[in-house]
Amino acid sequence: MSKTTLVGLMVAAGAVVFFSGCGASGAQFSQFATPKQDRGLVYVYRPESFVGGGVSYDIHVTNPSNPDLIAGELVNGSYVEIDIPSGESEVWGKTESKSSVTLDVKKGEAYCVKGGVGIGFLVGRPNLEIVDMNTCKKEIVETRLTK
Amino acid sequence: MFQKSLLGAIALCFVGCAEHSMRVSPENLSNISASTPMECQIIYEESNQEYLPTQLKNNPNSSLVANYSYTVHYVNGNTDWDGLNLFNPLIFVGFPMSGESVIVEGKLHIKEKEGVVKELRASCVSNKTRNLFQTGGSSGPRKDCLIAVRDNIDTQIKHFKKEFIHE
Repeated sequence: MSKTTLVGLMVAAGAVVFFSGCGASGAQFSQFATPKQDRGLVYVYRPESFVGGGVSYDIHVTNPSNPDLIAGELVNGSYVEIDIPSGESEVWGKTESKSSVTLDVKKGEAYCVKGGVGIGFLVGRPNLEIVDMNTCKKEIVETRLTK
Repeated sequence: MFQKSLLGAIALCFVGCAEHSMRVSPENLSNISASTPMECQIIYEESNQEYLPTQLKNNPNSSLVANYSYTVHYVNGNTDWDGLNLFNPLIFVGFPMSGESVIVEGKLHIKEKEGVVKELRASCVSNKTRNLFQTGGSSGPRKDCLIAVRDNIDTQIKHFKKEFIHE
């Protein structure tokens, strides 16, 4: 085995070990929970992707009862379940720039927000978008509960 | 020096690619000066009172019933092809990476005991492209559109009141 091949293998092995710590380690998504009385549920999920896979960001929720609640860290291939009071809530994430969506949460309903990572100057940027429940049901099953 | 200036000029041209447009309809409504709000029983099931037309004033004893509602639809761009953009040098001068839209439709039914007196509608489409200089999500465009729809319905209410009084 040549020296170049050996170095290449070591780099590859190092990368595998390094990136294996980036994914979600919680339980696989099984089903949508029933929201508590007078409240709604928001699922923020992030399908596994190679691009920006090593970048993660916190999911924040801002509403009149919580000026800034950190709901969890959205890593590659993970989801965060957030119990939210009815009314308007802003769900957002930030790295070098902020991405936010606003939901008007109704009692007893569940909502889905899809997260991703887009290109940034120095680090990948969060990209959040509200998706319909059919799309969400298909995609969220591949994700795991965030750490 | 000339090369740097040329590069700067090209960069400025592409920064203009960061499109953020908003279109509200119906368009070309003539503005009517401020008038007193219309008294009616208001039915409004959304939580944020900021988006309720200001030309409506709640009066539980009024024979008029105003039901205001709105819907918000999202046309999402995504980051699935951002990997390809890594090989596109134009992204450093503002080349668009994806586009997204927010569509808001507002509806106001004004009813009396006999039935619907008037139905007013307004819609707003906000288009935004995502590039290296502009990201942000849909919160801002959603709010801008909801306020634009509210203002448009307000103007329509003023026109309706004017017609209603003249009849």
